[in-house]
Amino acid sequence: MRSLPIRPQPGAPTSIASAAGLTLVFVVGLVVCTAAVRGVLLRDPEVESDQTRRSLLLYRHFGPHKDEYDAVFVGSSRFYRGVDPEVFDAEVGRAGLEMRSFNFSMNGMRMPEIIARVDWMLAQKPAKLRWLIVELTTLDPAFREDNRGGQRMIAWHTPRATLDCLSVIGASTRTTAEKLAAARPHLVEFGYRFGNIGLGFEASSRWLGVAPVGPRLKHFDGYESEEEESQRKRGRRKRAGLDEQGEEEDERDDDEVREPADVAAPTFSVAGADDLPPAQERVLAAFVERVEAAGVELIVLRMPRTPRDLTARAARKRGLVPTLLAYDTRAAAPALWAAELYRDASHLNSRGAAAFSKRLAADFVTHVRAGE
Amino acid sequence: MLFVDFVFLPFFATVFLVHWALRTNRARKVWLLAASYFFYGAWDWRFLSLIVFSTAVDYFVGCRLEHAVKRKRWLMLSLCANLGLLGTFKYFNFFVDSAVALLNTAGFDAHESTLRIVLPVGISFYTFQTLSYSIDVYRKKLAPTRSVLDLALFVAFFPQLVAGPIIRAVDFLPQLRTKTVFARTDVRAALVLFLVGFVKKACISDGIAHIPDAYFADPAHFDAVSAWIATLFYAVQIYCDFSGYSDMAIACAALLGYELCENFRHPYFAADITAFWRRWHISLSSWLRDYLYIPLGGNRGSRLFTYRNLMLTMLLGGLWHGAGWNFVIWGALHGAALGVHRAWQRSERSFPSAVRPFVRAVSPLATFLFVCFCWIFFRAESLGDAWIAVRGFCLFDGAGSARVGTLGPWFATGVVAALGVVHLASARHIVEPLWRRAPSWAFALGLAAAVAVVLPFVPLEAKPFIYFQF
Repeated sequence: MRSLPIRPQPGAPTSIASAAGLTLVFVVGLVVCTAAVRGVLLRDPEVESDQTRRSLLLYRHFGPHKDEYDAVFVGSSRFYRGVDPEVFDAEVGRAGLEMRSFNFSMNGMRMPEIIARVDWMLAQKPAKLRWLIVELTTLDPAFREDNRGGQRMIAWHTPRATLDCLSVIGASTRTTAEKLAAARPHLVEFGYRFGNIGLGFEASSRWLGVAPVGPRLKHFDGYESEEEESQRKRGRRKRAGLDEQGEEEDERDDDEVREPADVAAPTFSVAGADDLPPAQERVLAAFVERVEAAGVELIVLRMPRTPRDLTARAARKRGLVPTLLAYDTRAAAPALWAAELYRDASHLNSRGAAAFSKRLAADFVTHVRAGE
Repeated sequence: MLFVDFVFLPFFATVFLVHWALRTNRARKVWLLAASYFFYGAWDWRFLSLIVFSTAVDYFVGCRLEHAVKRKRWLMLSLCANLGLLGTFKYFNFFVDSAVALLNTAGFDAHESTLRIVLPVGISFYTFQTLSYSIDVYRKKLAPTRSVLDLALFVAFFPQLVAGPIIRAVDFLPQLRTKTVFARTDVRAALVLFLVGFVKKACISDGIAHIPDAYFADPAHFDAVSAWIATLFYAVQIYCDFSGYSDMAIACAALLGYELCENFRHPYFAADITAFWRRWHISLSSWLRDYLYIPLGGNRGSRLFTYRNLMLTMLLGGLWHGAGWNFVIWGALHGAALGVHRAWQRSERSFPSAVRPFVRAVSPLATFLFVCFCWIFFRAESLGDAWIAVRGFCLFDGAGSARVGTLGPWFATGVVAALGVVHLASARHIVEPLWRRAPSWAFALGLAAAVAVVLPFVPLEAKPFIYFQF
C-alpha cells in the first residue's frame, strides 16, 4: 500500500502517559485554534445568521445601531407579529418618555434561545439599553426535528446555553434513554458551533463577493406589518415572473411560522402555579442576574392568547423576575382578545399589533413612573 | 452512521480504545465483529441477516471445497447464493421495470409490480468479497479458514463494509491470524489520511454537490456553460466522495492495526483510459480483472476476442454500480474506450516521432474529458436528461438559458484548477516530509490547527456517500 505505509514512527507515543499527553496537546490546540478561526470568520457578524431574510435584517440592523436603542423586545413570533416599536415609541413619547426600541424577535424563538440571544446582545455592550422586554416561557429544551442543524440553532448553542439545556434535561423526570435522546441534538449543535461548521463557506463567499447581497432597508425596527409583508411578497413574485398564486422563488424566507410556540407543548420541567422546577429556577436566576449586572432592567411579558404556561407567574411569585406584564388571560386585557385583531389563532394582525403596542406603552409608562 | 457524522467520533473512539485495551487477538476480533455488526445495524438491523447468511454459506462452502471431489458444485453453490442475493436485492426492480417497459412497447398491457425491494447498503461490496474467498479457495490460492470468527470479520469489518475498498480474503485473513501491535501502527499517517479523506468528502464533495445536483435535476433549464460546470464539478465531487471515503476507511483500519488495499491513485492524472482504470477504484477494477476478465479469456486470443472480453467486463462493471441503463451505457463507453485504446497502442508505434510528444501531452487532458463525458451517463436521472447534458457538453448546445450556481465559468474553472494543483502536490508527496519529521507535540498542534481550519468548510447538510447506493 503506497499511500499509507504501516511502520513504527520515531517519536510515536509508546506509553499511555505520552499518548494522553499528546491527546491533551491536540485538544487544547483545537480549542485555541477554533476560537481564533471563529474570531476571523465572525469579523462580519452576519456570517453567523442563518441567511434568512428576518435573521439577516436583525443582525444587519442591531449590530451597527445597537447604541441607539433604549429598549429591546425579545420573543417568539407572537412578539415579532405583535409589537410595533414605532407605535410603542410614539405612544411612550406622548407620555413624555423619549426613547427608541427594537424588536429582536423571531419565529419559534423559545426560552433557551431567548436567553442566548440576550446574552449575545449584552455582550455587544449597547450603550443606551435600559430595558429588556422578554417573553418568558417554560425553559423547554425540546426543539423540532426540522429545525436541527440550521445555522440559527447552532448559533445559540453557546457553552452556557447548552449547559442550561442539559441541566434542565438532566433534572427532568424522563427515563435515562429519553434524556440521552433529548440531550444528543444539543450536544451536536454545540459541537457544530465549537467547530464553526458551515461558517467558512458563508465568510469566504462574502470575501470573494459571490454571496447574495440580501435585504437592505434604510429603516428597520424589527417589525413588519401584514400589509408591508404582503406588498414585499407581491413584489418578489412579480420579479420572479410568477402570478399572484405562484410559488415563492426565494425559499430562504422565514416569514412562514415554522414553529409557533403553541404547536409543540412544553415537554420538560413544567412549572406549577406556585413552584418552579429547581433546574429552571437556577437557570432563570442566573439569567436575571446577568441582565441586572449589565445595568439593564428585565421586564417579563405574556402576550394575549398565549397557550397556558405558568412559568412567568411562578418566577414572579418567587421573586426571580422583578416585573411581569401579563395579558395572557382574557380578564387582564379583554379588548386585546378580540378575534378581529388576529391573523390566526395567536398572532396579532396590523390592527392588533397597533392596539397591543399602545396598551403595552401605557403600562410600560406606568411601570417606569412607579419606579421613579 | 457515516464517517463524517458527529456520532462516528465517539463510536470509533470507543472501538479504538477497547480494541487496544483487550489483551488477546481473539477478544479483539470478537469486539471488532460486534462493533461491525452494530455499525451496519445502525442503518437497518434486518439486513444483518444477509451478511450472516452470506458468511455462513461461504464458511460451509470453504470447508467443503478443501476435501470434496466435485469441487465445482460447491463453488456453484457459493456463486448462486451470493449472486442470488445480489440479483434479488439489487436487480429485481430493474429487471421487472425493464420487462414491463418492453411488454408495453410490444403492445401488451403490463403493469409495474407493486413489490419494491429495498437495496441493502453495501451488498455489492461484501458480495464481491465473499465471492473472492470462495473462488480463491476453489483455485487453491487460499486455504479455507477454520475460524468462522475470522471469516465473519473479513466480511463485516466495519471500516470497509459499506463502500469498500473491496478487500481480498487472501490479503486480509492472514492479518487476522496475527495479533495486532499498536507500536507498529503508523498513527500519524492514519490521522493525516483520515483528515485528507474528511476534507475530500465533507468539504469538497459535499460543498460543491449543490451545483451538479441543481443541473442534473433539470438539465433542460440550463445553458451549455452550465453543462460544462456541472459535469466538471461532478467529476470532482464523485472522486472526492469515493476516494475520501476510501481514505477514511483505510485510515480507520490502520488505526486498528489492519491494512486495506489502496483504492485510488490520482486517477485524473492518468495518461490514458487503461491507466485510468489502474488508478480508479483499484479494488473493483482488479477484482473484475482477476475474477471476470481473465476467466473470460483476457487477451489470450484474437484481437476481437480481447475487445469482446473488455466490453463484457466493463458492461458488468457498469451494471455492478447500479441497476439502470445509464450504468450499462457508462460501462459500454468505457469498454469501447479500452478497446479503442488497445488498438491505438498497436498503431502508435507507426506514428512519426515528431507527433508522439504532442500525443503524450494531450492524452491526459483527453482522457480526463472523456471520463467527464462518461460521468454524464453515470449521474443523469434518465437517458433523456443525459442526452440534453451531452449536447450541452459536446456541442455547446444548451437546452435552456439559466446558469447553474452563482459561480461564473472562470471562477468554476479556477476552483477545479486549484483542486488539481492540491491534488498534484499530494501526488508528489510535497507536504508529507513536514508531518513525518515534526516532533510529536508539533504534529499534535499542527493537526489541531488543520482540523480547526477545515471544519468551517464543512457544509451544514451532510450528504450520503454516492457509492452507498451501489
